[in-house]
Amino acid sequence: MQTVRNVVIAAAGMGTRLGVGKPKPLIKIRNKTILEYQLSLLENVENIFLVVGFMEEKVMSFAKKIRRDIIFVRNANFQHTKTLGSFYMAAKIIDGAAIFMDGDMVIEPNSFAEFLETAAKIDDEKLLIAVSERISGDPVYCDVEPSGQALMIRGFSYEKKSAYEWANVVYMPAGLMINGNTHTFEHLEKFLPASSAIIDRLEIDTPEDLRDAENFFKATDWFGTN
Amino acid sequence: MKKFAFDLDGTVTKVETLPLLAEELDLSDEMKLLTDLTLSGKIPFEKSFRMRYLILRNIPLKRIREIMDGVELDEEIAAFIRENKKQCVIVTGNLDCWIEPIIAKLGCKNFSSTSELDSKNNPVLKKILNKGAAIRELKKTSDKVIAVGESFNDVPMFEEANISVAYGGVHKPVSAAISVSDYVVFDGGALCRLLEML
Repeated sequence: MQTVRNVVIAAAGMGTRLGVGKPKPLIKIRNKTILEYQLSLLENVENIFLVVGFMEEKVMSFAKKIRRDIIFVRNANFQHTKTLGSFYMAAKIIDGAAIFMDGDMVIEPNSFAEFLETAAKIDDEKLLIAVSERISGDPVYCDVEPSGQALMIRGFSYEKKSAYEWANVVYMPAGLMINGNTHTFEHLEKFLPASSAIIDRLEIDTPEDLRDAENFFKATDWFGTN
Repeated sequence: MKKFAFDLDGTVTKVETLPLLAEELDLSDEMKLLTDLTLSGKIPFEKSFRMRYLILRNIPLKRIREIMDGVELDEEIAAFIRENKKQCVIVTGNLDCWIEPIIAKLGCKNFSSTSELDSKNNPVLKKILNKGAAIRELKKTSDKVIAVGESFNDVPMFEEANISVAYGGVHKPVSAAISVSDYVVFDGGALCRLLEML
């Protein structure tokens, strides 16, 4: 059976909008860090690349206790790069395809498991772009339409509203990543139309997001921890 | 052809070997202190190695080699080196005649501090290795030198190498080494997978 072999998590940023003085992957929601939630979804993935920058030693010493075989990729220039730049630093050594995801969200496990399954089945040269029906505070909308059993994404937009937003998760050939300083979705636009899949996730960008996530998990038990 | 330059103590070996040798003289705490100060950069490697050599030279060479022969290696890294002998080099400040049994098991080339035997067949320290110079030498015949290490004296090696990997399999890499590295790993298997990709 085909499986996804590589996952890159961007965890170099400073999380300035949240303003808690520590890297977002180390923020706890209901006593567990965002990073722990993410790594729990990736137990069957061979290579985990965690791109670190802001407070890198703190992130590494915490992360290696959860999963010792993580490959840490240093983005020493993290203050001047965006997520796309971090993704590229790992992508440049990866042969084949990888999932690239942001380290600042909690993803619902069943929807992610389906994403992994779909990704494993698609052609190595193709992309699978995750979208979400849960619209965040600062969305990048996606123009998505059904195509047979699957979904196709045709465009991204800040203005043109839709029922879907870009979920900051993409499966794609690592060779297509570039060392750019644009937003990741702006780079992905070059490869549209592409296949798309829905995941559910909570993004943690602001203090309100964090408070909402705490409340959300009081009522909803994504990880069977309540 | 790409080349891999490995630090020896605490990278390929599961322990620092000099404190292990000092147990023979019941001086392992003192040696550990010197080694810790050196690893963290509080005293310069050259001075510290000279002092450590002066202590350890009191052990018969035959006994040193027996102890070195029993030093546990990181099996995944040792296997990687054996499989890629021609591409792998050990770069260590440790002494050539002391590390021979380990090098024999790995089967690769090495850059180390050098010694000459005196009339009684005891090694006399000749030259302490400059790890940065060793990497420069490797770069003459390779366009991609990848260095693997964890301590303060690996910093010059990392600065000269094309790509550097801080490896924390035995102890946490010192911050100075992390700050000039490109990748950091804590697991032997992950290190080997990474090296295959580079």
